[in-house]
Amino acid sequence: MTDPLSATVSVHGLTKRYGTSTVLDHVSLAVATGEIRALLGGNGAGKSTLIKILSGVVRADAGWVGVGGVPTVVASPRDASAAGIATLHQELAIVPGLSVAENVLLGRPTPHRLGCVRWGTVNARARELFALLGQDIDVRQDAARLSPVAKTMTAIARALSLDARLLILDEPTASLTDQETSQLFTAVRNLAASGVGVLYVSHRLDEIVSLCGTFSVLRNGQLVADGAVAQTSPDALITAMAGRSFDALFPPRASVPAGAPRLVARGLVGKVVRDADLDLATGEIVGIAGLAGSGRSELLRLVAGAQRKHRGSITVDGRPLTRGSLPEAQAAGVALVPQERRSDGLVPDTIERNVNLTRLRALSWGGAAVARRRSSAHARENADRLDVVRQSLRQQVLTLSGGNQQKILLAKFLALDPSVLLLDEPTRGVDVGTKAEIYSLLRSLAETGTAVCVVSSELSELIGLCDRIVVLQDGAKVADLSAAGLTEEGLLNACYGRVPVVIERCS
Amino acid sequence: MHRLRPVLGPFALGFLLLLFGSLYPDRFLTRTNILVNIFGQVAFVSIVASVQTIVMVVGDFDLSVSGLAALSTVMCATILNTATIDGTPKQAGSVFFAVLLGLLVGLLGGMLNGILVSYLGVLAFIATLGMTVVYSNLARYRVEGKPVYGLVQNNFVAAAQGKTFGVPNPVFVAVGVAAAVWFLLDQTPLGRRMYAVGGNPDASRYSGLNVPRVRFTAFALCGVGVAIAGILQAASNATANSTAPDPWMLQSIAGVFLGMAMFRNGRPNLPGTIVGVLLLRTLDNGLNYTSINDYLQSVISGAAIVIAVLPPALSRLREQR
Repeated sequence: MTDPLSATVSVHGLTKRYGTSTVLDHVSLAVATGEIRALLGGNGAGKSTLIKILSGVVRADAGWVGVGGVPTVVASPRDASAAGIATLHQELAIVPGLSVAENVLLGRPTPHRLGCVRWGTVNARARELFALLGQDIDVRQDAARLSPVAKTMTAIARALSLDARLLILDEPTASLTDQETSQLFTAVRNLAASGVGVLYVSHRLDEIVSLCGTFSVLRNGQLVADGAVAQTSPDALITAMAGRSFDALFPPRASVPAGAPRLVARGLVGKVVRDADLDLATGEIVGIAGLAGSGRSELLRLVAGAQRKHRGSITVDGRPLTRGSLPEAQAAGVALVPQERRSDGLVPDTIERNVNLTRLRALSWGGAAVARRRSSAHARENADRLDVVRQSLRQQVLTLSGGNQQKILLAKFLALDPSVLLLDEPTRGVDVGTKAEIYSLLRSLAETGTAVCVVSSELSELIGLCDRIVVLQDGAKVADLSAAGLTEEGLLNACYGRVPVVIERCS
Repeated sequence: MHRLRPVLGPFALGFLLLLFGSLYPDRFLTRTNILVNIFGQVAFVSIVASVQTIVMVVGDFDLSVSGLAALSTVMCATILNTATIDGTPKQAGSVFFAVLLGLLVGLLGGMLNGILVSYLGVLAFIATLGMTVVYSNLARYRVEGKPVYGLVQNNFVAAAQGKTFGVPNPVFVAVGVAAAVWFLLDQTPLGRRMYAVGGNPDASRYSGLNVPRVRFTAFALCGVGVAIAGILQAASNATANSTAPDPWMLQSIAGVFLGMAMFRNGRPNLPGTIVGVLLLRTLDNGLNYTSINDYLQSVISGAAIVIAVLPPALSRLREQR
């Protein structure tokens, strides 16, 4: 019998400073063999720095990394993989054009005889690794054609092929559907059962409860809590992460019933969406729920003119939108905050230039030259309104934390002063503290007359934040529920088309 | 290193001036050499590089600058010449009309590039590479591959060959174009849109920007600028030669790349482009005074381009790790 400690990766008293700010402050934690440990914390808590140190990208100022209890130098990604530490990043490195098997064995010597690749051996090895994960994948197909979850599996299989002792998963489910997520979890459990330790980073508490055995919580660079998941609760985890409780995350619901209708959409038809209606009124926050692929994001894009609708009509404040283009909808007061802030939201430039992007004409001398003073005043005002933590307006947005990037994205569209605000996953990859700020901002917008509509895959968020929830299934509206008193289970059932009690819209 | 980047370009330029200045003090550092051979010669390519910067800001390339310059120059020159291609004497047309036609051809060619790239979705690389063959051979067809001589008409040549305060007149045109492009990119809402589109087209679209129109505009402006450079060069040589603009494609793109390496987060920018083309021209000019073989001189300046963009490329690699 080997001592279980001998296969453990641990960190001891890790400290990292950038200038005067301490991002990691004497953090110690260990992942034993076969353990799945959740690493939790808001943005800026130090999670990513810890991961970077473990994967050899960043060096700690103090403290050490132990492999099997032995201090080990992890000064480069090569050292990390030699020590058996494998990191799966949010963006997975899959080489398109190579087969799945080739991707799995990338970084290993290719089995060959007389200069010819022994494809039989390559494929058999890859299949073995997938079998270990409980997966049955055609390893000869082009990796580019894989689904997101199969790509994740391929990356995990590659980590396995490199004899990983510790696998670090950083938000692996961000682009996965619920079904794919559970498939991934099965694989991760199989992996742990084979003796690999797993460090699992996610903002989604339901995932952590169902997958992880133990947890560590970082806040402001310090380890503030750790223990067994079974002996804690989501509320307690949030309290540890944010320093405040779960219920305090959401502002109180609207006290008065919804007012005048601002946006009326009838019979919208898109690629997935078929014959959907949407009514948004002043004073209310409407949520759109549905499984992945139910057309919830598409519905927002159709309404905002970001995607061409095949049929249907939209009126804003009584005026119909005829052209169905995004600029037309924007001019009518409809703003869509897109889902992916990196790919669809921000341009790689300064805070000021991002915030002002939607108001360039207004912030110029008749469209001819940028009005400098007005521009920076406008950017400052909007960034301040959302409490963006920054060094200056000239700071590059991509150097900001995820939460602050999201705030810049919101600021850019709030600068349009929209009468209808549509948000697609407004808190994805955002820490709890910022989430709470975004929720109360949306509520105060609703109270001052904006019609707010939120698409989210987090059911607890929809229930906590919204007044009314529209449920889509396969592109069609199947329920319109009052959020007060709704349970996550009830909402999930509705998403699957089982509506036990249809609480019709109270108006 | 990061703080130093903006001064690297001027520093390298100063170094070249010092190097060649100390090697050939009586020839290199003369007023005539600097004003006429360096500035006077860089004027044409700097106009092309300035407008190439616009296209590269929106995230594309224009590989058709040489062909389009040749075509618009030839169209302009065949109005001004005093004899047709086969030698029959003819009446020269009006300068105003000729220049206007040349600029119009540049504009139309640029617009055609823009339509191909932004409305029909052809990759800029292949679209403009194909179009340069179309444009340059149309030009050669028009003049049967011969240079167009005899442009001595109504001060057309005199103005371009003249000097003001000892500075060749094309330099003033180049400064004017550079200033206009700087103003466009740095001071106008359209410039902000161009940087946004080049940085992230999807985010720009979601922000309500008309992305295809912004890209189209960049190509159209580039076409006009290229025509200015071609016509100006023909005037100052008193000859329109359809092969004269050939080196501009590589030189303009290299200039923009050098500028990207020097300034602002690796984005194309006008001041950087100007320093970039000045660097390349100073190097070529200085090498001319050495006894190095002509081909080897080209080897050195080609290698210099690659070496100059190496440090930023390496630091990007390091960031990715």
